[in-house]
Amino acid sequence: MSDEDKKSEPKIEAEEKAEAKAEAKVEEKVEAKVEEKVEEKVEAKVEAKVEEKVEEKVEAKVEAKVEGKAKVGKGEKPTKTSTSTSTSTSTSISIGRDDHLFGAGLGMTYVAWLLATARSLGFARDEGFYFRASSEYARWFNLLFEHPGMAMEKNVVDASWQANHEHPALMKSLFALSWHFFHEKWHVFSDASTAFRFPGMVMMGVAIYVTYLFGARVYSRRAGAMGAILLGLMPNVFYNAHLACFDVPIMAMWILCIYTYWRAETKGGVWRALLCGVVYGLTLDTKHNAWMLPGVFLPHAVLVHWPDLVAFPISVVKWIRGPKKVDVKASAPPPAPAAPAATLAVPGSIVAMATVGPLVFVALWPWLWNDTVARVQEWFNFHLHHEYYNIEFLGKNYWGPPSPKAYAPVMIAATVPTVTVLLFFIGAGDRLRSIFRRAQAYTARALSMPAPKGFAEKPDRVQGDVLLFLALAVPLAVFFLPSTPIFGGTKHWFPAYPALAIFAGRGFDIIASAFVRVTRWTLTGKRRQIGDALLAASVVIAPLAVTAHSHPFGLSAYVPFVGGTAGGADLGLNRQFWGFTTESLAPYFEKNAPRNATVFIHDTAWDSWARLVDEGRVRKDLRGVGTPSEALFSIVHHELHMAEIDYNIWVEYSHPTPDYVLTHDGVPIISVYRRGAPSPR
Amino acid sequence: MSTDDDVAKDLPEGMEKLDEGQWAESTNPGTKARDPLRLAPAWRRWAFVVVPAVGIVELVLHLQQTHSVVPDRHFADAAQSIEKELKPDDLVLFAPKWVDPVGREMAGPNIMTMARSARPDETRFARAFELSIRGEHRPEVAGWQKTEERQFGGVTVTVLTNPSHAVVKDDLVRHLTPDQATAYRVDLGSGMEQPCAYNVGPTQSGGVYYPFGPATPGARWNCNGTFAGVSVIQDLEHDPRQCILAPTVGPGGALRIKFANITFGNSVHGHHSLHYDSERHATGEIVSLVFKSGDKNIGRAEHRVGTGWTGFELSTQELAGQRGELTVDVISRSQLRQYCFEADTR
Repeated sequence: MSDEDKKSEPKIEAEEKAEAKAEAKVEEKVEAKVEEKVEEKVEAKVEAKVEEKVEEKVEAKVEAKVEGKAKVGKGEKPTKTSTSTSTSTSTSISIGRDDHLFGAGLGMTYVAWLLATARSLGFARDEGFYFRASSEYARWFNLLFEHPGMAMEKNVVDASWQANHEHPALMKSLFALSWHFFHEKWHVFSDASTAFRFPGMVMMGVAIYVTYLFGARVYSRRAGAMGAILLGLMPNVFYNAHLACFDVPIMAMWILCIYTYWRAETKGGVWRALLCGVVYGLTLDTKHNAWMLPGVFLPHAVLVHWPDLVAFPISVVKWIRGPKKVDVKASAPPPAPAAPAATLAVPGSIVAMATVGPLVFVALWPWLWNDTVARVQEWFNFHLHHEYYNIEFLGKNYWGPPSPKAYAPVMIAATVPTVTVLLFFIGAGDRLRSIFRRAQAYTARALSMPAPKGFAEKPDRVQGDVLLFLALAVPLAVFFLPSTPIFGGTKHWFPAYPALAIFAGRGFDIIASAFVRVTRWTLTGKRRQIGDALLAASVVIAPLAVTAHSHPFGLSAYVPFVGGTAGGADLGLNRQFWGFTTESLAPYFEKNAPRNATVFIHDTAWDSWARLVDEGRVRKDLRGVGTPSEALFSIVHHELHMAEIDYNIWVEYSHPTPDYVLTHDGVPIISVYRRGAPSPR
Repeated sequence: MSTDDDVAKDLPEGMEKLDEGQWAESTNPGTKARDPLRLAPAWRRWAFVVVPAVGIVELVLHLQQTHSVVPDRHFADAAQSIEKELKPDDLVLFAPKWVDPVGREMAGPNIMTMARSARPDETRFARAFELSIRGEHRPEVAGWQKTEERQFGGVTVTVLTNPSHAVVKDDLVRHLTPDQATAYRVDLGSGMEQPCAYNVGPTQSGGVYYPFGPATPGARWNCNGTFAGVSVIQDLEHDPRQCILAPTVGPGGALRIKFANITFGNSVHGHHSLHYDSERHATGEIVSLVFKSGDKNIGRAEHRVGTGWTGFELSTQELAGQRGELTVDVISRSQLRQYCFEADTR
């Protein structure tokens, strides 16, 4: 061997070794890749098989059910329950005591938050009227407790319940009873106003509780919980939830009524149907928005029960016609048509709402006990011809109908936290898609074509989806009609918000599942819990921060994506109404007003001002007056159409400079003028 | 995000089928459950991140917006800085428009006079000091030339010069004082003048119910059913306009105001309007303003209801440089329309 050979020998050996190693590695990688591919293919095949089998089974079950229904149509006893109870039960999760406790706990926590912040929120214009009316009703309740016979006399009833009789009595009765027991008798609340407001706050708790239950049953606990939380974290809702008014109560009753109907539909039973009637009566007795509820129930009932609704008249016609004439040579005579079902297949809940509902309504509104028809007519007329409340929208003051079409969508986008709106679109989009697929499958079946690829019919959650879409759409639809006045901004479509929140909860469900999927191998145990909590926090914390910060200027607050309060002012959106911000001037008056100073209270209702003074929320020696001419101090609530009052005061006080401007995030809410020269600064 | 169509996808996300037809949350992330997105592209698997990202951005924006509010004292500092150099024909205004009350409060009555706050238009101002926040600017001075810019914390003071400044010789609103003006109710048929009495009493201003109406000034000529005095009305854009409130007498009559010792220029320049609500509803007759000096007719300005705060310009070239009496007649076939006008000579 030459030297060169000797040198090259170990080199060759090393090369060979490297080659072998590389080969082994390649082999290993190939093996791994093959494994992976095989696994993927196997999984895909398994998936396809599973899908196929599921489809087969579902088909079989559907057929069995269709047969069952056919038997019912023929007058045979159904194997399960009636049509209205059979389809959706399997889609709802089992809600137990813990769920009720959880939902109620969420509601109570929210009520506690409202109570904790109630003292710093002044009184809205309408609250003043309801305080007064409730005080009248409270006197009647007192009489009822002490001399029931006297309380029931016609003239006593009429005199007591005449106050504010343009609105039904349920909430005002609750305000009155709350004041009587929680303030006067048991001294639970030191402020009479908090006692008046308490039932309204509790109604917000009810809205949260029902939103949780509804969301949990239709979609999942997570969807229900997130929906309930997001419902409470809207600045406009938070503000209104404090008030002794009807907008939040009708939101609560709206969703409660729909939930009760849905439960009656899915579970069946006479008692549930009756309960539905009672709840509808209570809803009617809360606010006239209840008139729109048939717009939710009737289309839904037709959708769910149309086979029965169609089958009934057909069976009647067939029964009247008798057996078909056939060829006498036929071997066997045709069967006689079955007798029609004894009753038309209208859901019991709807029957109860149409019968029990009005009874409850009249029973709980003593004003209707006498001259019932005329007074009901008067109530309808008042609301059908309600005066128009003007409002600023995009820098323009709207004085009358038609409302701008963009009003409701823009105001929702500008006042509901953006992350909530985004979750809503995800959730609602998902459910719309499901409804669409369902409709596609139905059409395909009707045309004897194969169902859409990948679609398998399943126990029908679509009914819950449709009901929630109706619950959302009906209160909003009114605001797209040309004759509908704007009234008071967002509060008039609050009944749509629980459904919006439930869809947002569903949206969260979807993203939470996506999060679990991508992190299933990396996050386990405690880390998984932390990850889930952070995900939930990421969608809750901004709405929480925005809502908490908005107090006590909830109507001035706009979401950060439109620039917050200043962004709302830039866009020319309404900053407030009903003069509820007056209380926030208390520190200014405390420091600057001489004893017994007169204050022009502008948009503050007299009853609201009187209560501010009574409860020492503003200095007790201050005297409210009705014109700047009489006043040492004049205030202006900044609303576009109120600008003239500002200029009146300039003329009155001979200068255009406020002594103080109350702001929220730098945006003027109230200007205070002082007669004579403004205070030196 | 999930888009699969199969049965399980029709269940709530994160749910799996349990016994008795119930759904419950799938809590075991380690289970080898079917994963329809496992083979999906990464962007699709991670698309859900958009939602928490929006939530976090919303929070950050909220914190940024609530912590970057310009303190009122920055307006006070900015106002103080311009006070010494301010001339009577300088305009001071605040941007955006909604911050105007804060600006007026901080600047005080010496800077924010009625003439500036309730100006008829901007033509009479030679220079403007715009105190602005958030990078906003007022459209009224958009065409003016910027000469200087200063910063006071969050407030930017922009000094602008008016490229078409008109020098005002006399302003009828300032001239409506008992020593410089007299008012009459006139019977147009006979030409008879009934003098109005000048009184100073309490102003009558709007109450708590809409519509408030313009304030009836305390200092005014009372003219047997009508009056004349300086007030401030809101125009159709809700802006304040200081003017002479002169409710119309009605058919066959006029309200006449004689301004003594007026220095004439090349024109009489002015504006007029009815009360906001009348303009909004656009009902009623035309209101005419007839200008005369001695026997010389200067011209007639007609206000059509519904047009809002509108301007007029009448030539007085023949009288330019002279001093004399200027007579203004307010005529309308409608009675007691809340009509307001202003005019100057320039």
